Amino acid sequence: MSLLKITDLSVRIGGTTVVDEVGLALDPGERLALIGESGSGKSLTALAVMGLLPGGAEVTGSIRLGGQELLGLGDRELSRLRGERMAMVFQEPMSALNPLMRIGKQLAEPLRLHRGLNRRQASTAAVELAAQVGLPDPELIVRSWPHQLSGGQRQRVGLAMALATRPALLIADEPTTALDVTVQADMLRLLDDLVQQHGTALLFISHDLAVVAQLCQRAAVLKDGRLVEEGTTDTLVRTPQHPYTQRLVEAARATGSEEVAR
Amino acid sequence: MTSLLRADGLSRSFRLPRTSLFAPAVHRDAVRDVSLDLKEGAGLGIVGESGSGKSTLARLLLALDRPDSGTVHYRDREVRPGAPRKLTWFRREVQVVLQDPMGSLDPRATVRDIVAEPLECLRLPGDHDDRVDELLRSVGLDPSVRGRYPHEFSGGQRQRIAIARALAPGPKVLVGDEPLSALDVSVRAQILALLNDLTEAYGLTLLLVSHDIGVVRHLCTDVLVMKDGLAVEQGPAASVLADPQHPYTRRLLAAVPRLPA
Amino acid sequence: MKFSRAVRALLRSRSGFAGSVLVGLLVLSALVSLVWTPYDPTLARPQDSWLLPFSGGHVLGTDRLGRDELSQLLTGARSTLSTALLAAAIAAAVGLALAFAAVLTPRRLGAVVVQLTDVLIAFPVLLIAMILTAVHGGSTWTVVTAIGVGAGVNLARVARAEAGRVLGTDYVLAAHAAGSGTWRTVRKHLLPNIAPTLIVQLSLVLSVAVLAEAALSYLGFGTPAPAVSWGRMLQEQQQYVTARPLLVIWPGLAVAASVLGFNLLGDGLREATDARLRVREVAA
Repeated sequence: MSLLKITDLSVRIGGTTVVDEVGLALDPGERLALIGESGSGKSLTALAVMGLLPGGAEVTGSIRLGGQELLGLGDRELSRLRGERMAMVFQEPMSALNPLMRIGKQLAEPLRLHRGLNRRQASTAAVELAAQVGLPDPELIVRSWPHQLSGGQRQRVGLAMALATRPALLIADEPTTALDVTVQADMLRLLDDLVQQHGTALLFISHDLAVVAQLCQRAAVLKDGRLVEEGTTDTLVRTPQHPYTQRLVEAARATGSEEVAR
Repeated sequence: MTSLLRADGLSRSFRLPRTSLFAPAVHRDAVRDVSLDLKEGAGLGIVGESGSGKSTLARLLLALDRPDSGTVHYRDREVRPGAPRKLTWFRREVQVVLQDPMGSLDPRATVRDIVAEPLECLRLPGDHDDRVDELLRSVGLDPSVRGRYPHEFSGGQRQRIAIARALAPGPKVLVGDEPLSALDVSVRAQILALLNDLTEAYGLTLLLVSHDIGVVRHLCTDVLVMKDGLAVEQGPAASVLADPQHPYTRRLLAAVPRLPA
Repeated sequence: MKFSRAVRALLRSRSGFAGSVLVGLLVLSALVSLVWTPYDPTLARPQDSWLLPFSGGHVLGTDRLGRDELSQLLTGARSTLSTALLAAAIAAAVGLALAFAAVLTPRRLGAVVVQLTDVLIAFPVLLIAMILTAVHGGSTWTVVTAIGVGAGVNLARVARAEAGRVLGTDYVLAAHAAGSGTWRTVRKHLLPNIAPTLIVQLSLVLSVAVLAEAALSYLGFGTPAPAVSWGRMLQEQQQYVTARPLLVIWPGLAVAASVLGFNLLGDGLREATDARLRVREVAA
């Protein structure tokens, strides 16, 4: 049975339909990429799953996580699920971090809340988590403030926080877009390793076909809130069927760094 | 090929804000002893990651910032940052397109005022309104948009407006500071094609600052790789990208994600 | 076209509408008093003293000296409004001058201007106004200048931050690359883009000025007699407040309504300009 099953999901904000009858399914441990450009509704789909849509958004359809319907759940229930079953990494890591709280405390918080660790256990676990996401000198990192870290380090902290409770589903919304290429490469490798290690299912949201091709077996393409094509990443890239996917692939090739005949 | 824009030993450092009242002032070298030579008709890509100093270098080359040491020459005439009137000759020849097409257009100015700005500032002769219409057409916009405001356009259209402004004085050299980075993939391909076309149509010499090796590969004949303010590698694009010598260039190229062929 | 859109946005917001009505009333009173008041507001007629409202042709009654209350209120609007507007004009001039001096001059000089502004902000404006009037005798000009300069240094801080932000934008950089000189950049890019913030701030300066003028006149340091002012009406009549409470309440209400009006107008303007910013973000 699939871990995440989205059927006929529509999101309307202020009278405009921004997500239009989207259906997706994700098995445990599977990786699915959601590809689209700005305004395609890819981020809103992710936020709908997390129950984090802005107030005033009308959501219809169904989102099931492990068989449990998420739409219509209360805030308390949703925030428990967010801690234990699903987690999210954002594009701008700073936005997910509290600027007034030391890194260690931010890492320890979900552990105390959702895994019932006491203060000391949680702070030891925080150092372990920091080490696990490859942060250099984890003992020092947990005592730093968010603004003292580089963009790549912050994103690692974001990932560590998301994976702290070993969620079954990780949603990553453009997690490497704000990073430099060399940092992005390290980050993608790390994400790949950790997701594999924990058997976490990954919903990876990106505009970058080349990045998606590195990380995910399957991909779905969104345009103007509608799902236009879905399939294995390989097929999508090699033989795109929908004109929009074709255009995306063509554009990616035209601006990409493959050798081209000059 | 004659040399158009030449930099010799450019250096620029910035004083960082003090972390404490008693801490000594810390300086950061953004650009360290960089020299380059942009030949007529060539395309030079300055590649680097954030903090490499590539944007500072572009500003120095555009005489928008004063180097601590080193010189910039345009056609063997020294370019010194200073009074705008003394730089009019240089600004007519060298123009820039910046990264964020929203940020680089004044939200309270009309398209006409934006595109005509260099014409007015550089006191170029001729009918400015006609010229604005012609420029808008050349970047693929309908001249009827001249009375509208930047927020009424999409990112790609805004970047077209910024390009029209840069082309207004009929420059020889077009400097692009990450001109495609803020755009969606499909739009990026369109603007890339536009830049390509315009370069050919107007015989422009390109100087492109970018973190995106793909873009540089498509538009440039030469590459300069920057890291921590230093030019670590410099040479023809074909050889540098195919056979990088410096370890950092190799790491950078290896990190770029590629589509399966 | 752009202006009328801004006005519509202002009137759509609740506070903007209420503020516009109250300020409109103030302006209307001041204008009407220029050409007509029921009686001469300064004319004392002892035989008509302490008339109740609606008696002897005095709608709001008369005071101890037999002066018509309504006429005084209408005329008082004039000194309130002129003080407020003049003070705001001085505040704008002082504020912009200090702000531009801080951001446009070489860094060291700019830093001095910033420090100077911060020191000036610490000065108690009303106290200085009182000291000045104590030395030079009460005059509208002393009050206006004191309030204007006091509000101006505060305005300078806001304007400086806003100007610094605009000067750091890419469109200013692009303007310089296009060959724009400093003065042209200030005129074409800086002023239009800090104007919304300035206008909001100035409307708040107006409300502060109304309050300060009333307070100073009440304390006897403000607009000198025989000119009519709400503050002095309050002061003259406060000792009879138990006998004729209405005579104190009217000028008090007038001051409160004006202050509230300018404050609401400021809020409304802020909402109107914000709303347009929001539209812009969505379009982006």
